[in-house]
Amino acid sequence: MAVLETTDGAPAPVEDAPAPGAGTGIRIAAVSLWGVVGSLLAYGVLQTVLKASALFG
Amino acid sequence: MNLLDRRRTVAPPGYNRWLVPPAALAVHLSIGQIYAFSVLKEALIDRFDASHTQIAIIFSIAIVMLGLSAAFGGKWMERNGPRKAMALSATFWVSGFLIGSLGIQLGQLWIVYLGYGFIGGIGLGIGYISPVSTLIKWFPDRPGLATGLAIMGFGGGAMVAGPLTNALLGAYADTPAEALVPTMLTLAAIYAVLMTAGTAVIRVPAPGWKPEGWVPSPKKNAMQTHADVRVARAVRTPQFYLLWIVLFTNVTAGIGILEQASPMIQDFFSSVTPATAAGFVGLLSLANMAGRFVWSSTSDVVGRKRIYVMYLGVGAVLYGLLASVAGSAVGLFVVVAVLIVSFYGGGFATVPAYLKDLFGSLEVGAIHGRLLTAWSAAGIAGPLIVNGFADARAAQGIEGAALYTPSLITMTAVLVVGFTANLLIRPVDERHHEPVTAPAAASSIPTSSGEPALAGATKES
Repeated sequence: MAVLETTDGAPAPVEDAPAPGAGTGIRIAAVSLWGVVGSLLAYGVLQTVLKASALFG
Repeated sequence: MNLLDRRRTVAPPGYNRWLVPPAALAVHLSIGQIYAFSVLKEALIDRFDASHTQIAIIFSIAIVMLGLSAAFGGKWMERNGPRKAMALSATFWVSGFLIGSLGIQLGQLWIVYLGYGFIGGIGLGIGYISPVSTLIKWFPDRPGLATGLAIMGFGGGAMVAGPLTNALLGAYADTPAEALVPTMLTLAAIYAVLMTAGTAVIRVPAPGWKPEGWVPSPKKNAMQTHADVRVARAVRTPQFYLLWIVLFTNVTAGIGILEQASPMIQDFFSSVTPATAAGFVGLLSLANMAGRFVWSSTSDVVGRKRIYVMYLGVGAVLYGLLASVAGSAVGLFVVVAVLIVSFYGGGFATVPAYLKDLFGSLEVGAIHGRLLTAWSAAGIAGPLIVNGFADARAAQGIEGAALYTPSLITMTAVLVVGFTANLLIRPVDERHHEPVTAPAAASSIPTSSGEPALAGATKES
């Protein structure tokens, strides 16, 4: 049996579920944020790889 | 405050769960800056004409507050949802930078303690735990991958903040000490935007949601359960304390390497220059971050208990190698250290999934918060062990690799303790489980025997 995904163990009211079709804006924002955090991570990894390359130089 | 309410964050039908991790990463990348604090250290020493210890206290306060706020804020976070928690975290973290900047501008170190250390530290703790339980709920089939993704961001945060801070310190003024205030304000602005974006994007799954086609497979005697245990009960189980020991020993051992990485490799090998040692430190940062994602994801396949057998058992063997033969070749030393640090990162990232297996997802964020006190304790114990032994040996006139032999042997023993604690972990007794709430009736239904029906009746492999 699956467990309900509420925080207090009780079922959430019906109005908690947004209508189908809602959320296009948030999907675009989330994809954009993937781009931002991905770029930041890539920047950090690249900088660290450059630093680490001194070990093999 | 309505915008911050949990019900405003419920995902629309058909929402792609892969749109949730960037919100978690945005927060963890921001608060991960704490591990790049050392970049600010020299400039702060110059600015305040203070000792290393006086400046190190800022970092220590922040880490202590991280543990305390995670421990005591977890329950509040579970009740109010991830968006409110992330907004609170952003407010504290950014305020910490702003108040810290004020302290630097006024030349008052205590204001920096209060700002970056105390207030910022609260933001760290709340921010660290805020997206974890949400991700676990989105990825019940792959909780290790989910938590690995988020907590990898914490490791990555320092890798972003380090070079960025160096660049800002060099760009704003002639000396780093003069550039501190604009640098801190710039970082505050960046983190305010990034964390606000994460707060806006975070979504929780609708009640009863589960991945399409995913059916939990019942299996007796497995470590994973679909039952839920509340935090108040979880901290009364032996499993919680065994896992506390597991995390404490794993983090203590990892810090033992990370704390002394640069001087250690130079003491082991006279041919290693400071620049090469800095490269070694960079490589360990990569291992730390990669370990968080790779090992935690692997735990979804091999199981949480088995992966900790590897972290702690193989880790103990690797520490033994460091103490005995790894000093014979730089390459061997580097490979062994990289593996140890990757296990350290993996241990951090896998532990929320381990908690979910044992205690369910209902209050996993709050339980995780309580468990993070092990991190604070290890943050004190790890450096004490390594530095204590090294200082004592140096006072006896001992040099080179021999400086570290007792601490490496101690770390091996510490890991064996953790290894044993992990082997003792068993599924949580069903008397701790929350009663089942039947979805159709939307109410608790006691069984005919008078005992509440238990969600823990089914277990997955």
